[in-house]
Amino acid sequence: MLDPFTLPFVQHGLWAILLLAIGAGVLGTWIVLRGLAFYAHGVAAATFPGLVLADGLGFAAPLGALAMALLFAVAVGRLATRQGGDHSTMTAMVLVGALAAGVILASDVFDAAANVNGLLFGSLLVISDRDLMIAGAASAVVLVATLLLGPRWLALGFDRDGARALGVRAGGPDAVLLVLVALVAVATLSAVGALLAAALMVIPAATVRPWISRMPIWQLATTLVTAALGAAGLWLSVKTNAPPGATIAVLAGVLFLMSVTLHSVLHRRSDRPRGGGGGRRRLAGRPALLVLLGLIGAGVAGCGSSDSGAKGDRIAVVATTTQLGDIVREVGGDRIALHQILQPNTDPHEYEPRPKDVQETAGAKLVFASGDGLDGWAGDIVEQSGSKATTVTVGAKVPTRLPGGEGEHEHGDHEDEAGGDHDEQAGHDEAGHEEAGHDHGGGAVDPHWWHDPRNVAAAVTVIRDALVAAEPDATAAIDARATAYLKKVEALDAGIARCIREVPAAQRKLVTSHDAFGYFTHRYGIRVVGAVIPSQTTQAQPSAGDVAKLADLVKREKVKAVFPESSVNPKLADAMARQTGAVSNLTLYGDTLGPAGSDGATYLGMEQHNADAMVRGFTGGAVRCRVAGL
Amino acid sequence: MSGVLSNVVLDPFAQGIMQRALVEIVLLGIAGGLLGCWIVFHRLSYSAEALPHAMFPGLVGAALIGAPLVLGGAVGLLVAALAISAAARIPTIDRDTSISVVFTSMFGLGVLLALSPDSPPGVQELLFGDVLGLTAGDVATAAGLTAVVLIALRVLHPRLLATAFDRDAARTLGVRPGLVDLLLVTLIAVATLICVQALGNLFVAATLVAPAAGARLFGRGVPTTMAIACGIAIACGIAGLYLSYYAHTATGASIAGVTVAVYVVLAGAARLAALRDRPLPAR
Repeated sequence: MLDPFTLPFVQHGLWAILLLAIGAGVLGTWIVLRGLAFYAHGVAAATFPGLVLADGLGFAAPLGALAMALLFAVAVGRLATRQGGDHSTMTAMVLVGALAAGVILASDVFDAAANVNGLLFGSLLVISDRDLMIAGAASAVVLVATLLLGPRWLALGFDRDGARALGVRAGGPDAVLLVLVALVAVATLSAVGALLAAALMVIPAATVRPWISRMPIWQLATTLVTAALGAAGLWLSVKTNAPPGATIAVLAGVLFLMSVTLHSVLHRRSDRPRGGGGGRRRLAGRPALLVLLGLIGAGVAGCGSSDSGAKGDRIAVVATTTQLGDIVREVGGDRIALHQILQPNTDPHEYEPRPKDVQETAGAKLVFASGDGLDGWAGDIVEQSGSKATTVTVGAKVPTRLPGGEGEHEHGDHEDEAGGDHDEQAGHDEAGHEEAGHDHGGGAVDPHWWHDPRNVAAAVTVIRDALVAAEPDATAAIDARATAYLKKVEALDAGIARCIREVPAAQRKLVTSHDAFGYFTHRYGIRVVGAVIPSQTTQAQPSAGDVAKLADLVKREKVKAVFPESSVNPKLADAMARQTGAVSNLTLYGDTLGPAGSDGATYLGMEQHNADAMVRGFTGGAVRCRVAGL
Repeated sequence: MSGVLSNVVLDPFAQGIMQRALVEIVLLGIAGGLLGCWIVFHRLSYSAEALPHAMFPGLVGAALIGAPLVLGGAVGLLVAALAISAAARIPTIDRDTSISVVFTSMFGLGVLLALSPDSPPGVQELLFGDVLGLTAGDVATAAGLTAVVLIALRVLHPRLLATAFDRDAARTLGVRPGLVDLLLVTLIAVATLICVQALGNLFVAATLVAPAAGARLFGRGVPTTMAIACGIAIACGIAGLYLSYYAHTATGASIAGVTVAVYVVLAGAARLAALRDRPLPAR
């Protein structure tokens, strides 16, 4: 039953939760006592711009988060003192300001900041040593501060004016409390993420509160409940393969509900005969609390399953994205046991690690990553799983590497050469772009390399060589599969080129949801008029100026179709289409494959679907595209 | 000269996208400004920030059973509003803590539900609109919901007033503060529904809290404060649209940023005014 805790990454997570439980538990009682729940939520969410800055400028994420959290604490503290202690409204104001700054930074300043959103979702499954140190330090500081300042916080919590009359100054201790909450919120960020921070910082204290009226006991009990909750949530998440943060949050909610229901039932019963004797109620409370904990434990133990990790003699392989998974599956066939991390139709920018992903990575021999910021979390997973796997970043080894961020301008130049024979001009283009890619540094390469089939052909050989190196016995089988698949990829490439040539060069004008098709347009001579979200990450927001300019451009260029993407909200593309009279009913597969049974269920299907949708859109349905031999 | 000026002023609104955005901003300004005053008076800002996240499980649930998403979102919000009111009745727990408990567990539930392979891609964002992506139908819905909010606020006005400043006195007048809180949180839920479709989830608090917080600095009496709040909300919304048009910054964030900047300026001005009015310290 306890086997999940034998896994090294689960032990790491358990340590993190136990360390955090001390700080979060003790501080949680102060948060509930002083009504600072919104502030605790706000300070965690307000770290967003700090994370964007850290990502964009390349310094450590916790540093950015901490700086932003402290700034938030100071701003709210000062404003609230002026407004007569109204933390609630001031928290909202400062939070709105911080979020606005974060979105503008992510949308308009750092175009290539791809994995910012992931930073707001922490995970107990990929806890680093640095996270453990931060958690330990935060808990230690909270303990010391509670010992020193606890009595003053208590006095202020019950009677602010009375305390002031007794000579307790509100400003100093209050400011320390706000800073401490900021510190613990940052430490919690890496464990459960910004939106679920209250699951550790608020709910346990609120759960215990009805049963206990003495501060030290409340703090001790809250710490124990937080630790138990975290351990149970972690265990349950490994058993059910769910993200631990959300599991802990739901478990905390259920526990809270049971606690208050049970309390009100007992309370009413003991109230009736005796008219509410406090001592009696407390005595009735203790066993009830034990019963409650027992029930939770039993409930948790009841549901759970075990699975076997038998692989036979196949090579254990992990692939991050859906398209990479498909290609690896085609090459490896039944000689590999593949675990694909992302599932169809999910935006890679929103991935949160699941226990099975880390477990499979721990036992894998090879990990294939896509690279260039699209799956930046892959490195964390490999590191934290304690895996000895070789990581192959396929995107870094393909021949064509386009710079990211300024796709529109880059591709405009190719308009005139578009009509010609692409196979001939391929050589010099590649060389030029490879250089450009290096000039822009690591994060500035457009990560959507698979939309050029020649890149995929190169990826197939990379994958083949890696698999063969890992399992020389399987060389013959893998070679044969790779060669067969390469033929199909070449047929796809030639077929799409033929389809596009049927459309006059002047009509090949592409407008999409976000800038994901740079490689496709570069390969086949299509001009990118623009993208509704002018950035490579789907998290950015467009500006009114950009949208108006693009709408004018679409009208002037008489673009016939605006293409939404399968994994991106189509509202903006629809609005653009309505504004300009274009159609927006032809969806492209950009960042991810479609679900089984859809056109885009495989890489080959995805690209053929995209080519068909594009030629139909360019010509108003006059040209169709079917590639033979796939 | 006047031609140039009118071009600068009118050019942004030549297209339908921007015209709809303008109408939506005005609607939101009215609903948000009025409701926002009660949010600030009742210190319910957290609900404006938390409710958009709390509707997540309703949204995913609707997507899984094939019901309209707006309906799912509305049900999610209603459940959240009821749960918050119920939890706030527990004597040892204040309202912000109850909001925190409800929203965190509901958001976690939503995350778990969204893991189902049947849930559509990006379900979390499906209801989250962008002020530039509105249809005429969206604007009409917003107008209808704004009307609902206005009527409800008019009907509830005496009770809201009674409970905002002195809950015990309200009780003696026969007003039940718990019920008024529930109605207010429900109204915030309705407004949240309009806001997330127009601005996305991040900036609901910008519409519902910021203008009223600014207005409170100067308002004398509830009606004046409400009028100032509506004025601030509409002016900041339009200014944000211009900023986004001319400076090419993200629209929702521009509107939110302008609103907060205006608040900071107003707070500074209020402080200066207070310093000026204060009698000199006696020597």
